[in-house]
Amino acid sequence: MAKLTLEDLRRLRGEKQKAMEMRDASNKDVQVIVGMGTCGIAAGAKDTFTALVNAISDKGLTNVLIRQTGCMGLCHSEPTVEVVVPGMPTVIYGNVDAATAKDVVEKHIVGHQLIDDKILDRPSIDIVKEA
Amino acid sequence: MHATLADVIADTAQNSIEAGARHVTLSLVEDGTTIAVRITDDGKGMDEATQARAFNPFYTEPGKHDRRKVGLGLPILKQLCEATDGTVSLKSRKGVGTELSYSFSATHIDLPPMGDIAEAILMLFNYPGDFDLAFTHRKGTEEYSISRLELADAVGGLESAEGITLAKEFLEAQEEELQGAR
Repeated sequence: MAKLTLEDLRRLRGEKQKAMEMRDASNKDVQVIVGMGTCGIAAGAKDTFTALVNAISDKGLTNVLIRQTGCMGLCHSEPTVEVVVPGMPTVIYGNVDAATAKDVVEKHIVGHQLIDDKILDRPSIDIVKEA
Repeated sequence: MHATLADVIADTAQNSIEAGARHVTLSLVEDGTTIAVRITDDGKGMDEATQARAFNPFYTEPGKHDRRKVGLGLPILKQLCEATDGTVSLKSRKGVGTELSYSFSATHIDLPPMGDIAEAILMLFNYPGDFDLAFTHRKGTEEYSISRLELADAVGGLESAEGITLAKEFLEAQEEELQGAR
């Protein structure tokens, strides 16, 4: 197999960039933050992360930032995912498996509907920097 | 206890990022008999008293986790190294940085599987913050190196679905090539 080089990546990116620009020119205003501490990873956060990336790609969403964070102190409900969408309350979902991750993208980010039975918490004050 | 060595490596390298390092190096060397990992950083470092307590499971850095009284990362690493005929060494200077080296016997029956290195490195690269992380994976006579900033530049940022997907393809291709090597 021919080795994929950084040059190949730049070329691939160039190809994708055109398609991306046609889809959406707005800035990234949505954030999904996955808890990737030891507790999150033990509970399957890597699968959740991959499912989120795939679902966001499938929907062609270019305005979503995908980030991770360490343990948020909610180890009992890992994997946790915090979702920030303008005009909607910021929520932390708990027990987010791959299927729920897909729901987060399709229902919350695209459909602007909260997934009531998976809402765990609002971000606690001590882990959120004041704007 | 981590299920795979990839998780052990990700966990221990994450400590460097959390210590505020700007430059982290991570090397993974497999020579057939030993698996050796070396992590260096220019983070905040530890004084001698803290280093002496770092392997104590009932010690954690004050303030790192609210109300948590245990710190299990390094103690569990030490346990795993000792159980697999390996070694672990920690060198640190406060305000300068830390070097953590550890190894396992590659053929030990109690050694966990390697796991998904490409995914572990992707997770480390995606960790938020303004730092560079240079990763080298050597197996036998073959090796590849990639740094976080280099890869982020090539794929246009590691926080978009497109960037993450491309970066993952790249890392998986490097790993696949290396696994074919003797």
